Amino acid sequence: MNERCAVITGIGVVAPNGIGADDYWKALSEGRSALAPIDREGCEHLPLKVAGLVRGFDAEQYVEARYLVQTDRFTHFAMAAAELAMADADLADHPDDPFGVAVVTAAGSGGGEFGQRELQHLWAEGPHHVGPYQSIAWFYAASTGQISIRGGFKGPCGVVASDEAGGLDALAHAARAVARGTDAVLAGAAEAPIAPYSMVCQLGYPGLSTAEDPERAYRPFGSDAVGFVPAEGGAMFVVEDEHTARLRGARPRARIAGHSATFTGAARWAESRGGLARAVRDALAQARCAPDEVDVVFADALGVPEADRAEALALADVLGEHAERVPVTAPKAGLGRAHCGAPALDVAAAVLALEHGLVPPTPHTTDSPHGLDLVTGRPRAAELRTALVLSRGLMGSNSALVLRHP
Amino acid sequence: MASEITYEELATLIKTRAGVAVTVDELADPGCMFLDLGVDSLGVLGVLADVENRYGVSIDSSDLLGRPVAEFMQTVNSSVKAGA
Repeated sequence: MNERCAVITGIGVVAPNGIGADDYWKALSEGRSALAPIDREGCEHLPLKVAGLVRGFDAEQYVEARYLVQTDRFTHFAMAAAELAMADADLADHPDDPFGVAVVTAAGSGGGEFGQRELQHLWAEGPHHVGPYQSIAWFYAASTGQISIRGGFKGPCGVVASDEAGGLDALAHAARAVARGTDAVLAGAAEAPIAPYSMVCQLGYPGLSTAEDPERAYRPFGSDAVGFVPAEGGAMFVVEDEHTARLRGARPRARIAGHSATFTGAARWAESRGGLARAVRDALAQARCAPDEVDVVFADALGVPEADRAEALALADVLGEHAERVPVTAPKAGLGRAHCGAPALDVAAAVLALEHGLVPPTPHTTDSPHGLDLVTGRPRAAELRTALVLSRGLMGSNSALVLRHP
Repeated sequence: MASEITYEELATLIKTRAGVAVTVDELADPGCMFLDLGVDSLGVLGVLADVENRYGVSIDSSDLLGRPVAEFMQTVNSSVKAGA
């Protein structure tokens, strides 16, 4: 084998519906929703009422206290997910060569909760009461930095700042690092935007759903779609060269076969049709994948009717008639959108779907007027070899990732 | 208010500010360095800021970073005494 090929060998998930890939998959395949009223202190008076909240997460179970005091919840999630992914890939005792392992994450907002606490110290007590870790904890690059410091990973580390779609772009970045010679990359994204300051920052998004009923707040592709709800959590992966992985006895779970990204401007959903279509076309070409070879689509599924229509049209533009037949799903309807963490969670869902031969359903949505074969209600058994994962950011990024069963 | 910081208090400060559990015996070892305990320079700054706020003194951190714990204690306690 002379061409290096990036494969996913480990999955780590911290999600509103489960921690660890097994719990996550069980909840997804049962179509269980984790959307709930926001009950966090300081959030009660805000117009945003429903989100996907990670419950029962004990950071100390995964990460030493000295990393926890200097980091925000979004980094706690990323570090825990990285730990879970490494355990899943049995990478823990692998790296004799610290330069052979890298870390790539994406983040949209950074450490809002930590930052708010320190800013409150600033205004209440003065600058001398702001802790020194504020200098690093709020920063969107914190998760990459802390994971690499903790593990001693000195490979080509990076942070992707490309909007929500960055969660997919981080995996593509990792695949390129592997192609260039890095043995393994910890890649993915996690966010923690459900705290007062972070929530206020999101209130200006026109697509945000302020519905109070968790059953109705986020119904992507539905005729009754009213926008999206945010979430916290995310996923990290171990991405390795397939040959190197097999040599050390690791199990390739999925190939990262193709990726492309485009930009069409903030909230210009009609224009995202062309951008998304181009991303899908290029990603399929890179994967040497014919349109009718796509077995399942994990949609961006914003839940804003104009955006849902644009996504359905983009699929029709590229897949032709196959767009009406291929199963399309949006498990994030039961999770909410964890910004950059959302497409990372979709990649985890797609890899697990390929393994189980099962398309998890789209919770909450009952009917779809967009001409897609949207999987709702119950999971659907299918022979799955190729999954297409789509993501769009609120600021205009569009991204497509093709995963293939090895 | 006590006019001297004890190793017990320092251990508590290190736990809350830097998240590292250390024993008094470790701290009292004459060769003990913060970095060996897993406390990085930002952690030392956090401990120092806490002491400064608590005792209303100002201590120049540039003299303290990278110095052994014993020297840190000496400098901090002489400042606290002078300021008390």
